[in-house]
Amino acid sequence: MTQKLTPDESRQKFDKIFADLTRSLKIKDELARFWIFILGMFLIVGLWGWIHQINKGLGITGMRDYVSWGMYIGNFVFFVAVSLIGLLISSILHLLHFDWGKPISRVAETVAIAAVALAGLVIVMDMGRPDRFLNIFLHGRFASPIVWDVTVITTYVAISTLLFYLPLIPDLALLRDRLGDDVPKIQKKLYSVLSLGWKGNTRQFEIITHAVRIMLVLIIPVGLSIHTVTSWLFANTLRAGWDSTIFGPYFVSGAFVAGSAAVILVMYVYRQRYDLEEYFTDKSFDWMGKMLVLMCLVYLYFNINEYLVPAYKMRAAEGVHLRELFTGRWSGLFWFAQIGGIFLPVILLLFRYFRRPLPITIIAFITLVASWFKRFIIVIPTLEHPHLPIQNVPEHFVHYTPTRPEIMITLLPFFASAIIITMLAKLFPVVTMWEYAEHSGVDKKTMFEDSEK
Amino acid sequence: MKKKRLIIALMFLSAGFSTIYGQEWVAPESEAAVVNPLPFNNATVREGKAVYEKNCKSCHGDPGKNNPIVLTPPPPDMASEKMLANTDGSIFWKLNTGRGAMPTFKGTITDDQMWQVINFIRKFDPRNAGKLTEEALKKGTLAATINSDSTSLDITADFQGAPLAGVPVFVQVKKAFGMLDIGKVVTDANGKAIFRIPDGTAGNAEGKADFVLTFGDEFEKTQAEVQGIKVAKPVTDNPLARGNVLWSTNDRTSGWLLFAYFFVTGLVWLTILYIVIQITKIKKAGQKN
Amino acid sequence: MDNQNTRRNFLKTAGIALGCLGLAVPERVIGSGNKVLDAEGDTITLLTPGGQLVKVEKSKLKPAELPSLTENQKRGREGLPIRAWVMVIDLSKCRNARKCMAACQAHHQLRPEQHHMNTLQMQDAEHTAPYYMPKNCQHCDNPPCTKVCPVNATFKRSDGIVLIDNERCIGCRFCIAACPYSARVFNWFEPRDAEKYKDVVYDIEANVPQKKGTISKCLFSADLLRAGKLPSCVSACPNGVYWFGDQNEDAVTNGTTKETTRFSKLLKDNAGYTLMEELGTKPRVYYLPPKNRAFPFEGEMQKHE
Repeated sequence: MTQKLTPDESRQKFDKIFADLTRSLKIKDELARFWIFILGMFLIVGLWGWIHQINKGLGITGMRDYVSWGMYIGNFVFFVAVSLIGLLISSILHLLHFDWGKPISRVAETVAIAAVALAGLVIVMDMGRPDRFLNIFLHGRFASPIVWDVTVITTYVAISTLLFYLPLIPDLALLRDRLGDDVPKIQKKLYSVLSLGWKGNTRQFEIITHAVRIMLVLIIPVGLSIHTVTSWLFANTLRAGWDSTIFGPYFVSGAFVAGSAAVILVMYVYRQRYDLEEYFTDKSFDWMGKMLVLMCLVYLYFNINEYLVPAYKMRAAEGVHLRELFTGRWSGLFWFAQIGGIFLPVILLLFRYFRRPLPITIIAFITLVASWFKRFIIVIPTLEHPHLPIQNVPEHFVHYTPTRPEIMITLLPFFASAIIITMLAKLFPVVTMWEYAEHSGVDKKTMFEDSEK
Repeated sequence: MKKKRLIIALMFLSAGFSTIYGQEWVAPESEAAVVNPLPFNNATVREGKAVYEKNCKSCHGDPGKNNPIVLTPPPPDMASEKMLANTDGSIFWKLNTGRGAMPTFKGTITDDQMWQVINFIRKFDPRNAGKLTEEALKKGTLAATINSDSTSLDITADFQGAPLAGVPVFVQVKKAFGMLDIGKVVTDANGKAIFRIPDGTAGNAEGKADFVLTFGDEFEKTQAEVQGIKVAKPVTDNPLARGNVLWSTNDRTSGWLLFAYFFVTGLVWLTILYIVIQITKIKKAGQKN
Repeated sequence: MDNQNTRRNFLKTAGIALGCLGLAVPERVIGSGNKVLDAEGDTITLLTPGGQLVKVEKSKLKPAELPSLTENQKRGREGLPIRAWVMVIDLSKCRNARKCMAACQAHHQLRPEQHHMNTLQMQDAEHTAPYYMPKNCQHCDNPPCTKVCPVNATFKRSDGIVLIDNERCIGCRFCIAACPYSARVFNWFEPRDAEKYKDVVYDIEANVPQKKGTISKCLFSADLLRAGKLPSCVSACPNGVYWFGDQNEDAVTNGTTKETTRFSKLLKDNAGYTLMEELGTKPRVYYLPPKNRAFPFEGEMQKHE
């Protein structure tokens, strides 16, 4: 890979990389506009639902006094889970020198930022008094897992953004200097401001490398804690199905499954839409497939612990809960989540055939949907079985059924995150250009010839 | 379930009240013939009144005032003609059996108490008019002081200077919502009595108790109070007001928790701040060249 | 099967059923009216806490002196000095009359499906006898709910009461998830009579007026306790189920008979226990077992899976 190139070869190669990776920025595509328009429409419907909910109260949802957390919380856990992939791909793979992860790390960071930012929004949607959101900062109670969660999520947003931005700075300079008039002036201005006068000298590269390395280490404990603390929202209660000591690692391993699936999806879309077969290669998909299998196996291990141990004992409330999951009211969803989210990827992705881009993308999609339902299954059935019987309340208090506005509001963050991901792809190259070029043997000096002038 | 019950109730309404109202509650003849073993006198009626107020009044109300609780059928007034038409034996049997909303009192109160209550009810029977000698309420004055080491109450009972001998005096302690009986003493020939405060008498959180002394029912209402007597150790430590607990608000929360939270969060954000400073250096490094 | 016996049982059920119907009507009137029942001309009909309807001349009415909101919040957080409230619920006395539930809903302006006090039909095991169990907030000494509140909106006072400040609550419902006794309810919609009480200053000790998007639960009627009165459920019970008092004084008073007895002796003599003591929540509500019941269990057990 890193054979010596002559300056001319180098220049040619870099011109091609630049052209390929800025295609997404330059394309004047109606399709993307239409895509954003559609997403925007759904987003508005969701927002309208939310306004309706704020006016009428949370009662427009299917939640009631017993099942008092519903799809919103499931959604929240899902988005936090997906965001964790940023930690895995851009940090752990990087630190372990898995080079195949490098072209994907910006995709992973994009997914992470979109997911974690929306997770913050989802939790506000679930509040009975969103107008009092600031109370968390004004009157925050430090012993509450919610305050810890808000703290770590804010921190994770900051670190993810920095990890997205730091390697982007040299790219921004390239865009500023080489992009010509293909993009609007304002966009060029944006690149110019954000690139912080990047010249590409050694000192600047030193700073970036130093900063990135610190961030890569820092994101590991912070990333692990966002999902561990999220799991504590459940594990710190006394309810059957939640009262578990392995909820932290159980959630983290599940998060890697969901996040990997999301990254595969986004990779495939970029590859097809912007003709990036050389960057998101078959080999990358193959690796992602292998990683997904590994993550699923780890998740399977925690699932066995999480379900088998209480199922062996069948303690009163746990027994009721597990029966409902395995054979009762929730068995359909439960088995879909378990099979689609664990067994299907584990079995199919063992075969090379299914690790090719299209098959793996379809599998990843199923896995992602199953991952969402898995969060639903973790949150809701437990609440339907409190310690004391549910009596003297209307029937719809006993069983949870989501309402239509609730579904609309639940979908809102999906559209919003799709818009964020699309916008980021339209503004910034989806692969770190300078890193990729350097890896292909292009000299840094050649890259920043224009910048040094 | 509730609905079902309502439907049953409605069916009854539409079928007329015949069933439940028409169905008289009659004791078997042999039971109705049982005779009250207790004499009908002031003492048993008084005892009966106490039992009635504790066990019956909440549903049946005050005899003669027709103020039962809202129930269908309404619990009958004890002074009503229909009620008094029952023989003593019949009432005794009903107390033991129970029907519908009327529970059985078998096991709740003793047979003697049931007969006492029956005597109390009989007081309102016009046929018994004049059978109880109307006793005028006695009069008297009570005074009490605490002895030097706070172990007993010195009680004096008199009527216009003349000592009241052989009179029971009841001692109670004032509590948040009522009076707690702790015992009684009978005055001696000089109208004096010493009430030893029983061991383990509970005071309030400060270990203090307010004693209230009264004569029995045959006296006009009189009472003496001895306030603020130290009877027990004060409750010095309220665990609910203690600090360093996880469930409390921020001002009393665990120290280790605050330390851990601020230490870790501070460390992480200082690092982030350091990175931001590094980023600002990029510009400078560009200008130098 | 003894023919007469079946008929008697049937009549018993019918009697209770008719009783329920009789109860239902006035309760609804009282419940919906809530304090101000009817105003005509110069007089106004009011409902006293004792449940009596009284007519009062309007000219003689004057507004009660209420502390300001901040003052109310401050003293509501401190609790009554030297008190440690406890409740004892005697299951052998409960007949499912539900007077406690009605009085509670009236006092705290609750919707009919919101229960601070809920009389449950319980059956501990397949072959054990069913019984009625009034269940409210257990006012735990190790409360799982206050542990998780992110904004100090629910808290435990020095007198043992777990209270809520609905001017603070953000409606995250973490406390509902944390409570093993299902004691907490949420205002999913505008609360009952929101329009009527929109100008009334919030009273933290009764948690009224209720607020949309916030939590509510049993507060031992802390406002009544401050006034030296028993909680509304305790005084509403016609069957002598409830005992309430101060643990520091070792005395509890029965809401029906007004009899006062030693708290420790009552528990000792009747084998008092707490609900789910294995969870370590240390409730301040004690139960006396449903033995030697004054009233037979009349309902059908509801299936609870």
